[in-house]
Amino acid sequence: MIIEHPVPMFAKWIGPAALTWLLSLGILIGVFELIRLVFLLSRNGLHGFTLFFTTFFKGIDDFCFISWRRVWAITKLIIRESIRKKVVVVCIVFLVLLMFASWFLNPNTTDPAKTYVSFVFQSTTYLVILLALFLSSLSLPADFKNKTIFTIVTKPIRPSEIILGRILGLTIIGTVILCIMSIASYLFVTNSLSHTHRLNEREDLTPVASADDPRNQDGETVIAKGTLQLSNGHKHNVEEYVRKEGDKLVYTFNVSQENNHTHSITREVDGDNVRYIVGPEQGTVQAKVPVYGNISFRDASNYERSRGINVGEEWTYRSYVAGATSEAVIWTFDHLDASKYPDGLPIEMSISVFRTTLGNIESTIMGSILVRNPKTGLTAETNVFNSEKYITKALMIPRTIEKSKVESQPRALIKKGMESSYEPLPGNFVQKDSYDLFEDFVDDGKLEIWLQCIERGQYFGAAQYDLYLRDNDANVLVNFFKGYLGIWQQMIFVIAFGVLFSTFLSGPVAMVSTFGIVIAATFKSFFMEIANLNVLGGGPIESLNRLITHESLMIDLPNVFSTSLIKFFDMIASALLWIIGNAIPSFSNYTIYMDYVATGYNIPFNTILVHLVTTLSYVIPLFIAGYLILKNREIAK
Amino acid sequence: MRTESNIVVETKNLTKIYRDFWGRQKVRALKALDLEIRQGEVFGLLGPNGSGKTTTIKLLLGLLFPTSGEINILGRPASDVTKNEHIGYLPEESYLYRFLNAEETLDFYGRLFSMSGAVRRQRVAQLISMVGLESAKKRQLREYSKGMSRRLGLAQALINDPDLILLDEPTSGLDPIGTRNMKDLILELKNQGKTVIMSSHLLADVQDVCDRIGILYQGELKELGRVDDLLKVSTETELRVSNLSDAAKEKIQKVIQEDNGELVFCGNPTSSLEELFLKIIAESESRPGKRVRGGEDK
Repeated sequence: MIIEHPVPMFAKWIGPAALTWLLSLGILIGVFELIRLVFLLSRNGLHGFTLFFTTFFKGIDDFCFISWRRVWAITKLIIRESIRKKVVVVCIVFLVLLMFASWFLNPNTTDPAKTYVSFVFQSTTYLVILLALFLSSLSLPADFKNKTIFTIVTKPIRPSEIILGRILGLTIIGTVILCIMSIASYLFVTNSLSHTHRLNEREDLTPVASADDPRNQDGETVIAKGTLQLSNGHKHNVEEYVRKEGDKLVYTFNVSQENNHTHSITREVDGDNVRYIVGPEQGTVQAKVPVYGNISFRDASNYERSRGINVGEEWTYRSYVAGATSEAVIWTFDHLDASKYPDGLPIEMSISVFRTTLGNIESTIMGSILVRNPKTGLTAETNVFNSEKYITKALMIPRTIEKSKVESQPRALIKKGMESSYEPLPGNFVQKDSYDLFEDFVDDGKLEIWLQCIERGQYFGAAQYDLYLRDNDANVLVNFFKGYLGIWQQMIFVIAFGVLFSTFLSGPVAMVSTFGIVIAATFKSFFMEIANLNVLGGGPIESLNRLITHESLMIDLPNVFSTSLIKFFDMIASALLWIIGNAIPSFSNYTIYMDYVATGYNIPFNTILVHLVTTLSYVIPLFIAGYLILKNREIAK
Repeated sequence: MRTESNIVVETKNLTKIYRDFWGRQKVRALKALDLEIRQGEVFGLLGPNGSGKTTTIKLLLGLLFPTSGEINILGRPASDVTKNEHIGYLPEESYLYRFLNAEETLDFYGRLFSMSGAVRRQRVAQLISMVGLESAKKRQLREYSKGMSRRLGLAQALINDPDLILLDEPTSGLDPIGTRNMKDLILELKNQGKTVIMSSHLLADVQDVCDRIGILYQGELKELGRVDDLLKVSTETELRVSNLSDAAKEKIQKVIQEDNGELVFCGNPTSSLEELFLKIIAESESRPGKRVRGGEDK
């Protein structure tokens, strides 16, 4: 799975992040209070100081003495309002959508789970965000319009309680709807992908060897070949094996992987008839738990590098190593425990292949996996494989490594000036007959896995997260619901912004403003590129000028006064955009949850924790801003 | 006895100017209002539409911010939300949530006073009974008539058993029975020692219940004082006598002439239409059926 922006570890991140957050919040509140002080002084003279400090301390009271009974009163009101205004219709719309979705979604693709999961996540996101947008931005303005707010603010309720109650109420409604949608989505995905095949002995299987011959009863000789009958638009190839266990013959089957899944088969004998029972699909929706290592590279001169070769790709996520050289991509893993991997290390990789000679375009490129003890330098080539571009390859590094696969000379990482180089250790190395992966190659839980390209003129490209060890899979159902946390957090943002805008704007204007935030949050990276003036054609004013004058994006503007003026205003605009951009969350942080579930990876707890705290860090200032606006505005007109 | 301590509401030089988006003055709604309202009195704010009555009430409640001047309400500034713990407010129209029923509405407002569940339930039942909405307490407010909404609005204003009650046009939208009930309730609140401030342009209502009135016109306080004193015509004398013979009437007229007095009116007084209406309704309730007309068309 591609992780361009890795989430930092919570324990390391929280300290500096909290400090920056507190500083930013302090500056924002400080600026607001300063403006308020100047306003009060201009209106009331020196008495303004008294008024300022009285209201300032009252403001602190408004947060310290929040009555949860009053907050709950508003929360309950919002929930009742939503229910009685038939918000549940959104769920019905979603269910109708699911009813017809199967007409248009094709289960016969290489990864049907991805198609189905992406569909349910995206449709849920749109519906829930639209719902949150409408509810949050229209509710408070409706109270102002109907003047029901008069009967509320004339009770001893604080503005902080009104805002908090609203955010909580809308969050509860949104959460319940999201829960209903997520359950419906899970049932839809599992039900749509659930299938089995039929296997008839006479029609579908062709015997290739006699099962009665004791020579074939080794569990490795194929005794019959065939295909499972068509179901969900695909077939699987099947091979039948037999082996003798005591007096009994045990039949096993190898079912080919199609559309990212396989099936189990059991053989039953009923008199003279043989029946094959094909089990449900396995591995369609997964929650793989990858264990990542740290990446480094070895160049052709054996030096250790942080990056490999640049093959000229614009996207610099991966860097490359050349084939048939000593270049290698190295992943160093920590905390490996032998008891966890009794049969060896299961690894998966999804690497890029860059061909300088095409040859047969359909042929794969050979590569090899080596393991190296970081301390002793003992190195062994454990696997040779064929690699296709971006196809996830699963390999098993065996626990026992034969003598022939171990390199005769260990390699040590030797410091040379400011750099380090992998050099064969001098002296004679005494070899054993066989090696144990954990005893001989893992040192204090550490192991290096090297990836090399074998073919000359071809390159392998890899990034940190392209090769990983597989831990025990997580629960698919739990992971599915964890995925919905991404949508939930986006919903919370929309609610918080909607409530904030609704404290000072009319309903439609608040809605459009919140929608603007949703757009900016969805395309935040582009927004920030404009703010940093990194876009072709310059900033907003320069772009407008180019639009009007039909000037090409590639040509610099002439060096005249008007250009300087345009650049000056673009600087101001970009500064403003930069401030706004930094105050807006990035929704791409949350859409990655869908990618995790769709591609079958477990969402790490650390990612969820960091994102939840980030969400809260946005909601708190928005809540405070909403409070300040409501407190300082006239309720009546 | 007038003391500082029993002044419940005090405004000094209270001014409100409405401005447009650009800060330009649109209208001067209230001009330098000085007012003192004491505990236990029923004070009426009188004036034509747009005279500043509602603006004054909104300023007292903190719904509007004064352009200049000071407000002291129950010893606190108007911007202090804790003052609302002892205040009940009935707006000029019942601004209630139409998707709630009566019980839910009152329960909601009770929660805003942080009342416990038991107290809330008791108070809600008591107020619903008081305003006569028992049979409709489970119906959503969207099905309520204007009068029913108004009664529920009054109940919400009294949910906290307030010391100070502000009623903005309390009799607007009410039928004569509702109007009479409202007036009776105001007098009942006064008997309980509560302070009531009401605004109205229905002069008869104000006259019936208010101890003191202030008359506003174009944002300025034009008159302030006790109703009795303000309405007393000191140059005229009124006698109300029952069963007086025509001979006796003539004697009285003669005495008036001898003392150089001027007889302005001598005849049978008429009751008010309100009194007649209430009498008919009371009779109809006690004796259902077609009513025998008490008068004749002439």
